[in-house]
Amino acid sequence: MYKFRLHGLVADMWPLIRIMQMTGFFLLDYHEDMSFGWTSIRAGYAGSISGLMVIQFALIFINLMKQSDDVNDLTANTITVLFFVHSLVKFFYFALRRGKFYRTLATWNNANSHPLFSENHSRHHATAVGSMRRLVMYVGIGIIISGFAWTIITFVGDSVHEIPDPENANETIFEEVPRLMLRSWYPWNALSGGGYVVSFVIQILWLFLALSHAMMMDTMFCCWLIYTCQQLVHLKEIMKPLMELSASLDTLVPHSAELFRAVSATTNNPITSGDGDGIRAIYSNQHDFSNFRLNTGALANINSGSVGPNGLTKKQEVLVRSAIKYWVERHKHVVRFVSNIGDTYGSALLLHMLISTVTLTLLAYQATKIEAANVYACTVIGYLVYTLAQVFLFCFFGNRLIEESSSVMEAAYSCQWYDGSEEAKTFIQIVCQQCQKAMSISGAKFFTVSLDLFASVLGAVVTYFMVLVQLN
Amino acid sequence: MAGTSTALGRDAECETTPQRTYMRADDKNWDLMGLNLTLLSLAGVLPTPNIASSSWKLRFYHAYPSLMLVLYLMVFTAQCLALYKFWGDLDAITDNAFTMVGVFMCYIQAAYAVTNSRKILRLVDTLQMKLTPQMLTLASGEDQSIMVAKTARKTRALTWTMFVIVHGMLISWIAMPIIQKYSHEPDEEHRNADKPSPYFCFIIWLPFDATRSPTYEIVYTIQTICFLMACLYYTSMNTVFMTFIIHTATQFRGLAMSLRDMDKLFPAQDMGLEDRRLPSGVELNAHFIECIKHHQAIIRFAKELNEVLSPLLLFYFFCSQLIMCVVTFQVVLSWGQGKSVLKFVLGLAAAACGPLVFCWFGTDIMQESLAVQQAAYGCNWYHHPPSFKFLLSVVIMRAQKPVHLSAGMFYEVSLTTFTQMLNTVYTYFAVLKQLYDE
Repeated sequence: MYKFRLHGLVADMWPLIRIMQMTGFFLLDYHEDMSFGWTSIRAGYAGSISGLMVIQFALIFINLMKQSDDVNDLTANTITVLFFVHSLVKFFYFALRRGKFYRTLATWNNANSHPLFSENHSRHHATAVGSMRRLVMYVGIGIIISGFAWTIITFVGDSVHEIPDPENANETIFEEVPRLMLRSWYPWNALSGGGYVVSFVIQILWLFLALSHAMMMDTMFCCWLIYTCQQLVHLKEIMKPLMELSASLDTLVPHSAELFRAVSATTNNPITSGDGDGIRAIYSNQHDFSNFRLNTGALANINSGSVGPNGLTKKQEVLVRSAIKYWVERHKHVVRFVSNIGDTYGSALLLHMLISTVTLTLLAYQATKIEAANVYACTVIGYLVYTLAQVFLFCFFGNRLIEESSSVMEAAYSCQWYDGSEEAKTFIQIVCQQCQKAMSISGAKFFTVSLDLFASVLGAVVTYFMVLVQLN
Repeated sequence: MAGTSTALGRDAECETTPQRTYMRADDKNWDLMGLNLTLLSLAGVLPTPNIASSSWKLRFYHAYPSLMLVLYLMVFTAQCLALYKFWGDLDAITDNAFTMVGVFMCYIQAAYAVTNSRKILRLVDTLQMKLTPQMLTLASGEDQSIMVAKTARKTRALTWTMFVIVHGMLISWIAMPIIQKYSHEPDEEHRNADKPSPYFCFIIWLPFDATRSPTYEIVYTIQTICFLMACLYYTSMNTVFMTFIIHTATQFRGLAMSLRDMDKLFPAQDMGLEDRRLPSGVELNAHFIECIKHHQAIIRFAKELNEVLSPLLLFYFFCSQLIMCVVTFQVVLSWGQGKSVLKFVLGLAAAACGPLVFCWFGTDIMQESLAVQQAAYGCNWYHHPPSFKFLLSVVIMRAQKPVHLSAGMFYEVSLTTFTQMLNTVYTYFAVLKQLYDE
């Protein structure tokens, strides 16, 4: 039993976590009341939902086996099966790897802080939280619209399928199938009456749950990446004030300083009074404060005539060193977080891409049989757009991570590092060396998640389509 | 700067003349973009400072593109009507699509420039007032100024060439139908109502009869004006950005030259200049820091240019690919029918030329920014003090990453991307041919 505290990443992603708990993921943690009774009720809820998902999926699969004679039916049913395999895979992936997910979510529970940069940090934290909530909202709206579109299109057109005429082997007749969203086998008669209503209710529930299962996991992954990118932006932004801060620590006093006085590009900024207690605790008197200016260039501070050869007191040196330490520790924290994310979700991405590749190949084949703008065309295009959108979602955020992490080095270079102290210059050098290689998420080391991946998937679909059109 | 040079105490046989001891007054005012700015003001996109100073002149000036926009909207509607009316006729459709997309692209480019005119002027200012003088300050000889002057001449020649070629094509395009009309008077009655009238500049359809003068002349004049303005927008916009790109590459080249010249300015320490070691080390570091600041300034400029250029380039690449697909489809349609394939090949070449030039000079920027790394490494760093080596290592790390322009999120402006675009066009051509043959 532990005291439940809503903090860190869990607090920021709270709406998403609640949605996941409601849709039946095995997310049994993060509740106020963790007594055995409530936990078993929640586990039972998750278990029954998983049972429903598996059973309905099995029924769809049985239907596929039964209708495997006709090529068109087989292809259509296979696409449906593959489409919903995502949901099952993601659901059970989460259930089996709960520990890793909890660990990733707990990464930011003990973040360091520094009085000088807390204002900047809270600003970026708020931006990250806002983006995450907006993303969850958009994905939720997308799921609801897709679900409704699917339901509505079921009621458009004839709900029939072709089978060979029992009397005449060369002809085909149209046999009626139940007007349901998914072609599934039921042990009861689902064509009309009570059986139809029951089947419809089960299917609509199952449809929304399945769509949520697939998308919510990806959304969680994207939210993690949003948070990481905002942390990197925060680090890039505090680089400049940090360099100007440590420029005051210059230990070398050159003779010809006057000729090359470096003028700071930024305007005169007063000392950030954000976290007054933190700074004032370090500065015990006004004299310390007045000697310390955040905005001047390196060499103008040299002969101010206070304690020490570099014009700063011990306390100011400590402040500057602590700022550098904050930067480095925060960056290491971000790197740790990214590796946790890759560890947790990489295999899921690999499985997703494998299944999507097969799905998209079959969809390309289906697309070659489109003749007119009818229900068939709409469904094929709908499947295509949805599958590609799923891949695009995580490719987009993976690409953003790569871009942000590779621009840290550029941000480090663009500040006035050459005016800084030896310590600051060493810091910049090590930062540049470390950040030359961009941080990226890989799908279990098979591929890197970036927009290149999406472009290659799109190119592959077009290629398959053209080849199949030629063979037609 | 004067004090520095004399403090170094140059030897008599030292080749570098103390260029830094004097700065010509007109070094501050390099006229690199004059021709391009004139073209832009002619097109009605960017007012000259003279016009911008008085508000009523400015108002008249802004009425000029607005009028053009109104004319274009009329023409655009006529083209859409033509698209609708001649829907089944593939020849007419592709012809219409070609001109529609082309003219639309030019007007959108102009609209973008008008809305971003302030950013463009700021870029011009940065290039002429800050970057070029900064580069020449670091120069130890006349080489850099000669290079800048040569580049300026090259960009002016490029602008003129593009202007002449595009407007030459335009004149031939405009002149042909009207000459045909006036030499084929009696054939009018036999014209097929289902085919677009060949006596207009490009295919349009009007709900009223426009084949008799004076309506015909009026419509034709409006078409001519629209077309002329579109060509003017195209030329002015493309050349101004090409000039920016070429000058950015020149800036990198100038920086590389300054880095290479550093050895001449600061001879290595163990060559007998014992008594000057300490000040020379500091001077060397200070000079190198100025080079670094210039490097930072160029990178910043490239980033600002990228911000302005990126959406425009994305749109431009997309439209160019579309036009190329349409032209290749026309080739498919007239395959083996004896119609001049040459005309279509020329059209394809013209559509491909624009992106090619951008990709070519974009690759130039990438290569020149990588050359900075080579130049930095090529100095006698092993003789210099550790502080210099430290600065050098950071510069090399940054310069290993090439500075490149991007078109949206999808393209990096380089020749590799251009090949990819050609591949895409060929893919669509193959698909269209397949579908058409069925």
